[in-house]
Amino acid sequence: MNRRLLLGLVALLPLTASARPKPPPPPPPVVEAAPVPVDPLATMPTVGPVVSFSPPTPEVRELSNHVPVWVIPSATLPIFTLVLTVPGGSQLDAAGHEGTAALAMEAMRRGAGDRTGPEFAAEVERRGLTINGAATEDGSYLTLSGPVSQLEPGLDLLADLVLRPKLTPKEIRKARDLLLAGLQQSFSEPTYVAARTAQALYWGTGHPYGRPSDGTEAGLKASKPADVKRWVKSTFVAGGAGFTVAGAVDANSVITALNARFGAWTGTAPTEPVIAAAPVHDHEPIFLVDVPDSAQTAFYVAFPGPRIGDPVEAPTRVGTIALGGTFTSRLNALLREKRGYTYGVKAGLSQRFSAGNLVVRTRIRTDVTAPALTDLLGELKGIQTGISAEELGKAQGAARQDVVEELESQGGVAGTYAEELSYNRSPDTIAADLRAIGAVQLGDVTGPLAAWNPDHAVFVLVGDQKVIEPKLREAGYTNLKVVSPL
Amino acid sequence: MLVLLAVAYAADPSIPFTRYELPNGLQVILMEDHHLPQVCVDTWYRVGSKDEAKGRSGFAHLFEHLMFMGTFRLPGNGFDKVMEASGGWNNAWTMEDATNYYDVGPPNLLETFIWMEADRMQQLGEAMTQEKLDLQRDVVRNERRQSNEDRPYGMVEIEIPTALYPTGHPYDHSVIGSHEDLQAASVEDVKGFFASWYVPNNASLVVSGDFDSAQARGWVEKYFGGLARKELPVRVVPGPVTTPQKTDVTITDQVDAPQLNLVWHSPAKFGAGDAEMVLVADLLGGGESSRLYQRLVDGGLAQEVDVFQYGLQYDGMFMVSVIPMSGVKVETVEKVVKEELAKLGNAPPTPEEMERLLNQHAISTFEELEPLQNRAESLNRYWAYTGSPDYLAKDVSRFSSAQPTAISAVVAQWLKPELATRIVVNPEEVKK
Repeated sequence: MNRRLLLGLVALLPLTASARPKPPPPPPPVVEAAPVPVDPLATMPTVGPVVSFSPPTPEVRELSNHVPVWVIPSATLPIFTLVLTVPGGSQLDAAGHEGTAALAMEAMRRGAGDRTGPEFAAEVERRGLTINGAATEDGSYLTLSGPVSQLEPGLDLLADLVLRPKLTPKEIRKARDLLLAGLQQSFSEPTYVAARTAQALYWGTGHPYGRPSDGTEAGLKASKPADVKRWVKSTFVAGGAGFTVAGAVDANSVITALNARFGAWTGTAPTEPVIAAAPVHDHEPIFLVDVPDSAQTAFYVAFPGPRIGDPVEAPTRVGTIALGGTFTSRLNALLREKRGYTYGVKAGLSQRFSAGNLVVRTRIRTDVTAPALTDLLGELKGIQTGISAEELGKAQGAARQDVVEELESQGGVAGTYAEELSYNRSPDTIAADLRAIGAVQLGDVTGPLAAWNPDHAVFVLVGDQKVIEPKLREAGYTNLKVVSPL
Repeated sequence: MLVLLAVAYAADPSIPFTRYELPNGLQVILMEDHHLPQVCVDTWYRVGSKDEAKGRSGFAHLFEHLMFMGTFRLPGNGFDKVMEASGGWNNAWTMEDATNYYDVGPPNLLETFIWMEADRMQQLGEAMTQEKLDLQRDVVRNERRQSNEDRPYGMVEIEIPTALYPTGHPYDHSVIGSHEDLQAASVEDVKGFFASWYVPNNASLVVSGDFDSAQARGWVEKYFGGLARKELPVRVVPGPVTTPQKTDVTITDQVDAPQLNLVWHSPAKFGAGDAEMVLVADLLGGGESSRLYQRLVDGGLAQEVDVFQYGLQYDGMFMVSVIPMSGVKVETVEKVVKEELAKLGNAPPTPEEMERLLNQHAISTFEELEPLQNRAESLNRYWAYTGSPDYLAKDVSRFSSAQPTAISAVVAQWLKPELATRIVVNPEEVKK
């Protein structure tokens, strides 16, 4: 009986009873049954439909000398970031001079125009500006950022740096000493040692991608001021250069300001070396680097991977996210959340213009290095058979969110688009890549996942040899080779 | 001379938001931003390592890990799984005064985020098990190995609290804690900690990003409204501490070069002198034209110099850290640091230096506020430390109005040589 009908019957009772000579005792009061409270937390809400998202397309312009400029205006805050990219990075380092590019980029900021190093730094910082730069394997870049009111003075400083660097022997020596000291410090960091050694073993120490972009001790010492000047003169030329500007700017003003400083800039880009394919690795030993008494073993494993712009990039990225790109990815779920062996594990792509790697990185508690390796190999075998529909959706969502977050800051916007410009890709690339990721089907992923074959990978483990080597051997990993850091 | 300053601060810095309080004491802050299709829910609990019981160092941070281990309604790794299935992710951090959780993702996840935070605020403790505790204890101990024991110079931050604070002070131990204390933590500890501190009247919820405030308000009231307010444990506010417990500490590490660390007690966060102390740090070590960078790094004596002011609720710490160049003695760089401190204590910064400091600070404030999660966290931080999320303008103002003489004064008051703790890290060879 429902509640409304019951109330109706009760209302009729007194009328019926009033016709009787001796009225019966009054009925007991009707007590309403209290409604069962609904716990609003009892059921998790359903996730709604995805909101569409299109990354901005840059305004594509060029300077009077045809240097391309991509402008991505945004008026959210009164700041800007400009990135200048040039082709030619550490791949141009001569054999025996590994680190020339890194040294040149460090030395360039140490005085330009009519300012000494300290004067230049003081002027940049006085205006609330920041100028940074670095050389990667494929190219070099300078970043200028700060309050938009300081864009023009900032461009004056940047133009001095690019067109009129001082590069005095004294400042080059200082820069070299700092890089050498930093390099020495980096060798105290197991993760750095693992990555550097694995890349050198994967590509070969003579390969442009096997040479560390931060140089070697011998290479830095061999790089003389004349080498640095030559590198800057041949690399920072208009040919192949490009500007990307994001922030509270408009394209017309940016072009006018850049033309005034860089419109007469000339020069032809240096010939880039032909990048050979990586050697094929087949059942290599597991390489060990000894760090006595370390509490953890740093793993770095390098596999063949797609180059930038490779047609299999999107499905490979999706499969890689499923393997080790998010917290619930297969590797993290097993090695951290199930086993408790590590604080975290990541799989990712290390892409360059001509070739790339897939990599796995982690730090494993020393005493469980061997079982962790077994677990890792098990997951690598498993991922080669494909991923689930759930993993596909998760990877696609993560990839989209990554792009959204890259575009949160002007530095992120300028940097993201600068990378595409430096690789001569379309201004629409960010959006196109996102569409490609969204279009990946389960069947597309399986083929590229074959790249996660451990038989063709280079494994480097940096840890306490006296503890991990016997346990690895005991677990059946007998093909071991102890190496020094490269 | 300070023309640029006005330019840098020309835009009024503000984070528009609405704020209200639920009857159970939960602070709610709604901040719409439709610039990008994403939302962030940032939940700040006013509990950190300062609230740990004796013998339970590292517990607040361990508890943070346990917050992701599932409830009855969403067991196992459901918290992460559901979020990631739709492109979302989450993370958290713990410090001395607070624990902060944030969920980030596309707007269609917002109601789920709010539900998940309410769900675990209600029943995380009841759903705790020994198995969950043991697993996350291992993960946290791995974090300690990775972030401190095997990281070059990583043990310095473990040493600082015991060197600065007397035993029994809320800040007398590191946030990561000791292996022994982590091992000692029990399921009862977890349930007790949850029941005491993870209550709506000890939390603030910032909902930010691409959403509709009216709709979000409805969800917050629906999911959090039924959670009960509880009486919070009484905290004993420690008295001021100005002198360190230890003045000289030496540790060894597998590093190539020694490291000098000088640490002082300093003003509390947002307290009198805090902003000036931040500017002192910038003046000495912020950027390549800073005083210590010029004398030590540009002068060829050091490869790195790092200076910062770290303000907390009850106290602060000011730290100068230098790695000398090969062949340069720690004493040599120490002498330079002390000379520069004495100089600054005796004479205020020049107008040119003030211009640099204030312009750099203004621009870093803007850049800091670009990511959505940073803005959400800022609102929570302002609420937690000042009682008002609407503190950005005042925060900016305390820097823009800082006087050169006040900068000298805080150096003279706080950074006296005899009040410093000196922590030197020597390469292992020295030990042998």
